[in-house]
Amino acid sequence: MLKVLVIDDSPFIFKAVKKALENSVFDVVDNAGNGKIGLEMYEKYAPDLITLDVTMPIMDGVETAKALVAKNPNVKIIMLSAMGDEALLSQAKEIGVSGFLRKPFKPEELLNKAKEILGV
Amino acid sequence: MQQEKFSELVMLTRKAFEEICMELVSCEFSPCERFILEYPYKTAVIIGMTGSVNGRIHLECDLETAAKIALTMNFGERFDNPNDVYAYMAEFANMIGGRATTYMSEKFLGGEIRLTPPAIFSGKSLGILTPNIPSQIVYYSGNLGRFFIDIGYK
Amino acid sequence: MTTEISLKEPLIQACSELLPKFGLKYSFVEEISEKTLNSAESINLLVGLNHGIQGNIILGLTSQAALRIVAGIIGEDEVFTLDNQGRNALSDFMTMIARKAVSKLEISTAVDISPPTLITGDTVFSMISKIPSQKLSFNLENTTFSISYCIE
Repeated sequence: MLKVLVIDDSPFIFKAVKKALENSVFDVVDNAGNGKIGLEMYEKYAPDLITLDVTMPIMDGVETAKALVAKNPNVKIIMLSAMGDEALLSQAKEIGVSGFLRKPFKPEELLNKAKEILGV
Repeated sequence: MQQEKFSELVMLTRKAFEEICMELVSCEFSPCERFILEYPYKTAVIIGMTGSVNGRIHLECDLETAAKIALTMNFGERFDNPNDVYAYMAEFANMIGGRATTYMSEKFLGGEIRLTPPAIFSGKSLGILTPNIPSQIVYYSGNLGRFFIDIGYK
Repeated sequence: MTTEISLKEPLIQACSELLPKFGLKYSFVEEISEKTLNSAESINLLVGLNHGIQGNIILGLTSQAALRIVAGIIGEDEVFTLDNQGRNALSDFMTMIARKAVSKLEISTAVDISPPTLITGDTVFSMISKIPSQKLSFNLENTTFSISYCIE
């Protein structure tokens, strides 16, 4: 199973990611409510994939993505955001985020994106 | 603000609301006649907008409709913590605000539009207004209940 | 953005600069940590913050406090109802408090403040963030008011 960590302050998104990836090759291991906890959980679980919210308390998604890429330049991140403007998309690409999905996402959209990024 | 631009912003916000309702809870909310929410307890979510557009979006429904929306978002599973209804409503409104600002950014090229975190209020006889901000209320009805969306931009 | 910024002192200072200007006698009582969902006053003014910092501030007023503040702002001895003029005055007051407070923060990026929204009702509950908020309580002559805030 491929481990997925959800970094998002919304209990709904955690549930939606779990539902989208259940019965697949993915195992959603945990949910971090902000980037700071997310970085700790990244060390703990060494996930294969991370879904990352943009707007979160304590440490936002952009800062978290930068910190994750600094830890591991090959880290696989799908950024999830309610906002989908060009500036955010290009910032995410620049940091090294592997994929971007706009909320709300369809379950199959997330599953396909995750498979595509991890080549499964 | 020019009337034309105001109308455009309202239209884009309505489009975002209608799309998110359909995508998230598979509910088609259609504009309807003005109504007064019948249940005494109301739930309202307010999201501010700053940057190149200054204003706020205010969504309001009765508590029962909010609970139905949240339950549908939660894949029909009951909540362990009843307060999660509010967290789900916040996420619901955040997606509407996010989609609306994305459309606004695309339509009015240039200038960043930023959202403030959703603030939720619940109570009896709620009265909500933003002084000195022109706004338009749109009433919606769907199979999950009735909503109104009050859109104000300066 | 990673934030460990408190609005406590800036808000208290903002009150100390503004309230005496309107002839209002007040005192700061305490700061308490709240839950995410909290009971609110019958009259509330909300502003959202973003850009430099992200969060919400609520000024919670009893009816008596709201009328007293309006009277102070418009220069009357007493005001008996919260009419349009009163609502506008409270809205301006909220903007002043928020602007003064954020201007005292030592951050490099300017903070945007959303237009103030007035929320009234009975048995009102509020949730201004998914994380717990802080509440500053004040005495205002014979009544009280509070400022709740949360910076994400």
